[in-house]
Amino acid sequence: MKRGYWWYLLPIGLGFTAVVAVPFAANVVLSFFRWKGGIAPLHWNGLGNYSDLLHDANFWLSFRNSVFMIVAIVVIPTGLGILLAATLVDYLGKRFGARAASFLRATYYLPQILPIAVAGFIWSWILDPGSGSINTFLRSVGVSDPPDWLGSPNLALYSVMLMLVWLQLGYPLVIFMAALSRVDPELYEAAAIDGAGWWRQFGAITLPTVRPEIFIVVLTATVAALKVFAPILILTGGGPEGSTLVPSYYAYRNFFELSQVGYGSTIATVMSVVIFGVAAVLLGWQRRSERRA
Amino acid sequence: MKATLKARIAAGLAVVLLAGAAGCGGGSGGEAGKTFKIVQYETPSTAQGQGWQKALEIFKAKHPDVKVEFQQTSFDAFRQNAKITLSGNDVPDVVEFNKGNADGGQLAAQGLLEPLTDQVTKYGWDKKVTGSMAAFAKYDENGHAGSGDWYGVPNIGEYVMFYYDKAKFQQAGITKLPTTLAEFEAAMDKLKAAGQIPISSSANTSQGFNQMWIWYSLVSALATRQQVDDFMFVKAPVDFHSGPWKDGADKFQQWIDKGYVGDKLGGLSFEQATVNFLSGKTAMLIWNNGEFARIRKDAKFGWGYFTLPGAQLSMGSSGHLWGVPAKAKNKDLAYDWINTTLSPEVQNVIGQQGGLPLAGDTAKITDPVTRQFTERFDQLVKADTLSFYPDYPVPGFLDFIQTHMQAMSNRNETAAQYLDALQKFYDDGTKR
Repeated sequence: MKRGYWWYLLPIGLGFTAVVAVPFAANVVLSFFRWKGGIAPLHWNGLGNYSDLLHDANFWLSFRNSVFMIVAIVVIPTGLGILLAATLVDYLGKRFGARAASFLRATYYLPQILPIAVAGFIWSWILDPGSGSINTFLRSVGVSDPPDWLGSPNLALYSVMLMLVWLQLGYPLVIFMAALSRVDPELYEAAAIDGAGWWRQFGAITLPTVRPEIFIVVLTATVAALKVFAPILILTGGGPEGSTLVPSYYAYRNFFELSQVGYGSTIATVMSVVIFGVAAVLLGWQRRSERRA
Repeated sequence: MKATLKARIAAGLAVVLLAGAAGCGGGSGGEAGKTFKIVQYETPSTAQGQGWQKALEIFKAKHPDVKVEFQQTSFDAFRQNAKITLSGNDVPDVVEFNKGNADGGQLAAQGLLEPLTDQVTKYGWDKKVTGSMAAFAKYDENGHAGSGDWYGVPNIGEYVMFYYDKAKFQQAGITKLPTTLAEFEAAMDKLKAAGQIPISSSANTSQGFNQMWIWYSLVSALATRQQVDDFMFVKAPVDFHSGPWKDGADKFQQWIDKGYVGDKLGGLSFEQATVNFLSGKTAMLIWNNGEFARIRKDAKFGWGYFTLPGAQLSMGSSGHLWGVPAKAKNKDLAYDWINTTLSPEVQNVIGQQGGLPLAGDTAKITDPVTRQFTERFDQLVKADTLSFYPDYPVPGFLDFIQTHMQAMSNRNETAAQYLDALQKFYDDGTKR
């Protein structure tokens, strides 16, 4: 690249330094101290916070819950998103017209533009054990003792996952539908003439077409899953009994509730490293598969 | 040519950055000392919010050359950002903050708030804010409430009560209000027998405070002033395995087991508990004066209220506090603002709206229901029987207690297990 072009990177470079690099460096530095925040004195703690973190059952529980968040935000919505996109484009779009498909796409996307606080309150009412719509329905079909969706430590994580799937589904769907618009309809017609059924067409045409988009969705959604915060804050506050604790909420609790800023910074630092690592692995995977393609 | 272009770009960037820096740091620009910034989180429609609008009128008339910025934020937003807001260079002149060792105490111990003791004496605030209402205005060097300098000044008080549905009480055959704890339990048995859920409650970690209030109301009912003060102000070691702590927690577990509070509370917030009461699903609601105006407006049934019958102490405290940031630029104006909010004109506006003023004249409240409600508060303050809120003594206590309230409500933890955990968390937290 010509040296003169580097100037064009300056604005983003300055922005990145101010918004990402400097705060991250400050966070890493703070993780080596015990600090109550404000203008309280900093006490050097070396690797003490990291050592405490290794033995902190709550942190490991939150880390385990991150795997469930990945299932809810990456695995299920991506899989469902491809199937729904293919159904809307190949089947409903052809049968009822492009406008019907667009309308359905918009309804799936609606949760994405809803403020998360609003979505959280809607779901807390839907999942209300007494008068929530799910339990009202269950009672109407004869279930005498329907579950306590957000109050039972055995169920709450799955209830949160349900909301996250609802919240996330529109994102991959819209991206995959856009990708599928690249496919020449004659390709599907030719495959149909050759006797390929819907599933065969899905495997041979749809999936390979959306592969680059799958990488993008998996990468961005995995990062989102590892730092999911607002739905937990609004729906469960990490409860009941700690069962829905996730790392970002645990860091927040240490920062603001417990005034253990150094320890909160340690959690944030470790999670940042995990997110960088996961993103690097996914990008490497994408590059390798692009080279093979 | 290239070098010139680079130099121009660099010079341009420098100008932009300098302009940005000036914009960030200047705040009030050349009007420093003339712009007075108030940051608070009371909704304007509440009693206190309306009182402060009156205070704003009086203050502006008194200082016509001062530009007053009255900023609205939320309780959670300020609570979470207080340390950052108050340690910056462009701080407000006066702020509303949450009381207790976990919040106000931390801010005071971190040097972020100005000690107000001299001003308290000068303006005579200690004549208006007395006894238990002043307890959480003072913090020592460790951030423990109850002694040391004044760091905040409250305007109003709070107390916790049981709102009740008169028709449901009648249907259950309860002909007169209970006056002892035993009578109260007997009344709840009657409500249960009549197919009612006696108390609307909640135990979600996120905003499900009712169970915590029931537990601490029971502890308070059985406690002495000394026992509560030892716990609250970390004055003497507390043995949670005996006395009111054990008896209160045991009774709380019995209430859960007997179905006095309904079930499936772990996912409910206080808002849901309130709506359940208002929609006629429960006979009583435990909450403080914060819902008085709403219940008055929204309840479609005859209702009343009473504090826990037979209790030695009742949950309640002063309201949130006005404080002056250590780095505030207009401290004299800040003291005058606080003084204005404690003036009879402002306090009586708060009283008329049912806001439990600390320096108002209850006799001047024209509405009989509101006057009676304020008189009950005056009685509790006068008798020095308010036991505060249980999450004040230790940072992180609210979260801790909530988690255990959920576990007990879900029958995953016994009272004895809760008390073991409570002992450890309190001892560790107060030593830290």
